[in-house]
Amino acid sequence: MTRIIEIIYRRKLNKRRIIKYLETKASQNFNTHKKMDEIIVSCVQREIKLVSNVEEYIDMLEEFVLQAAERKSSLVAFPEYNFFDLLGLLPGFKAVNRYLNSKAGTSGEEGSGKGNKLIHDIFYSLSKPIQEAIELIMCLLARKYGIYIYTGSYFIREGKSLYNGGSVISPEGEILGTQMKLHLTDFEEQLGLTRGRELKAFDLEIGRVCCPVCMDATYYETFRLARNLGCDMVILPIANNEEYNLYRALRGIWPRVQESYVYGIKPSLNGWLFGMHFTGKAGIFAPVNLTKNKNGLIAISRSHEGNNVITAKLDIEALYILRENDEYVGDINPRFEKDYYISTYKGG
Amino acid sequence: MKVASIIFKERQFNLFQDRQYFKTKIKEWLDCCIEGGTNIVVFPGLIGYIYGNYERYLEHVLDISLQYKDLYICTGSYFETDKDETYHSSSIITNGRICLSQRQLYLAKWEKKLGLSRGYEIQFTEINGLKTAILLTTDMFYPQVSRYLAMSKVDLVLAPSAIKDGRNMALQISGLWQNVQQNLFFAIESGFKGELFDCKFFSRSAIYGPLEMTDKDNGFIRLEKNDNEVEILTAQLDNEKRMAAIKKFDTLKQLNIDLYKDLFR
Repeated sequence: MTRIIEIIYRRKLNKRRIIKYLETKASQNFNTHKKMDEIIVSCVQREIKLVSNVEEYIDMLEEFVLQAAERKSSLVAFPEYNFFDLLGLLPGFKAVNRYLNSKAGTSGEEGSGKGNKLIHDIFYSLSKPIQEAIELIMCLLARKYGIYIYTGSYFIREGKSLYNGGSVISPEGEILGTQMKLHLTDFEEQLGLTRGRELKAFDLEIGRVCCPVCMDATYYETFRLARNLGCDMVILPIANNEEYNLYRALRGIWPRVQESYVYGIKPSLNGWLFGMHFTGKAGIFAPVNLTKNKNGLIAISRSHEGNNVITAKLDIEALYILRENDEYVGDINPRFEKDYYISTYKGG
Repeated sequence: MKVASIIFKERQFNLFQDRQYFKTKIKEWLDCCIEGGTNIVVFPGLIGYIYGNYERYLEHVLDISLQYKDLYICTGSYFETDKDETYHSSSIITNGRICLSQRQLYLAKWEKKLGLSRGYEIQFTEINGLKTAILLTTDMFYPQVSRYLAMSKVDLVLAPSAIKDGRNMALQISGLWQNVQQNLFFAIESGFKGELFDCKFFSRSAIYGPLEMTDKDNGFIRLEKNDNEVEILTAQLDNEKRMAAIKKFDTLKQLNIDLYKDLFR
């Protein structure tokens, strides 16, 4: 059955069809990436919307890119699991999904991961065509609007392994690199996903950026490594499978930005799928003393549901000054840190 | 186990300059703890500094602890001198003996200005079956310290704090609260408020636990409010409840340890 699913997706996400569709749409080159002296970035909050064809999906993505470009953004970032909408291409999926969503909560095992093997096999079979389609669409959109795009995450198949990762695309439409998720949720582990082994940094004209994924922000280590790599900005796509709660949300990128003194860009996915409810506010974050209201927020979505593009201007120079002057940052303790890895993680 | 965190009032700062008031207040706090059946109490950050000489302060707490059998007292913090070095330190005292002393590992800018030195080791003790450590105020903002504690299987962190310009709650949340959430231990913070060394300090007292075990789903078991009457926050720490919360969201289980080799280069 999985082979058939892959064939269906290869047909429905046909490369020529995607190129042809995007070529027929009106072209407008914003060339926003030329204004790199002023760093404006956008991130997308969007609702899952199961599509019936790839054109619908392209239109939806393009609308967000267009909004970001109109606001003179140099970069637009999409959320984790940015491909869920394409599951609508699977024959019968919409009806099954409606049924699962209507049953949500009735078993008392919300998001319990029952039937994980089946879900894994389905994801495995459609991962390659979806990866190729998303990368192609995003490269074409990046070139069309002259903007950096972080694709949001999708499944990436390497051999028998399935990763959750996303790519950074240049305004010229080239993939600069791909980052796999480094810390999996229990659900993803049950699904049989594989975690990444390396945090990469990407050099953009607007600065160096890392793109860990969702759960990676639960760990201070991720952002410490990002700083070690010389990053000033971290993009963190999320798709939180839980009801929205301010304090739950505060466990992610916000404290990581506070302790590591980087800008945080958080695109977010929301909506219902498989009976699971995804919620979350897209936002752009900075250390408390760099924000107007001293709350660590530069811009954030008003609601944890629905569609929104969040845009903000980043001041890297001000960030560097703050790193020098703020009270609780930048100290080192060579004696404590010398054997930290062994004594902390290896129980030495 | 019942724990307590002293709420230091801004208006008390000047009164504490008077040694007799200071001693009376400590006795009041401890009387109150014993009456309430408290097992552990945490005093505020920098309170030992206000006392003056840290050795005399410790002697006083050691003496008075004999009157409060089996109560564990985290002394709050003070400046300790050893040879030519001065450290920002704290201790746990019970029944007339020091069972743990801890020097702060990282320094804030104001502490560097004063010429303080850094400790480099972390001590542990066991209190009523819970592995316990002290986390001093600046170390709350260096998450590697809390991670070290969690990986050493610490259940309970005692935290005398004095956060500079900490009136902003966002700053305080970025300290101990978030370290509790990524490491899932209990923590008791007792905050100092007042002006010292040309710095304004303001830290709220709070008792923290993993978000999944707290009534309001917010990670606070108790939090100081703008209430002039309450002087001590108390809470029962239910370790089984904490373990159940960890089962729901076990952050440490998903650490990607091989990734962290170059964390400190």
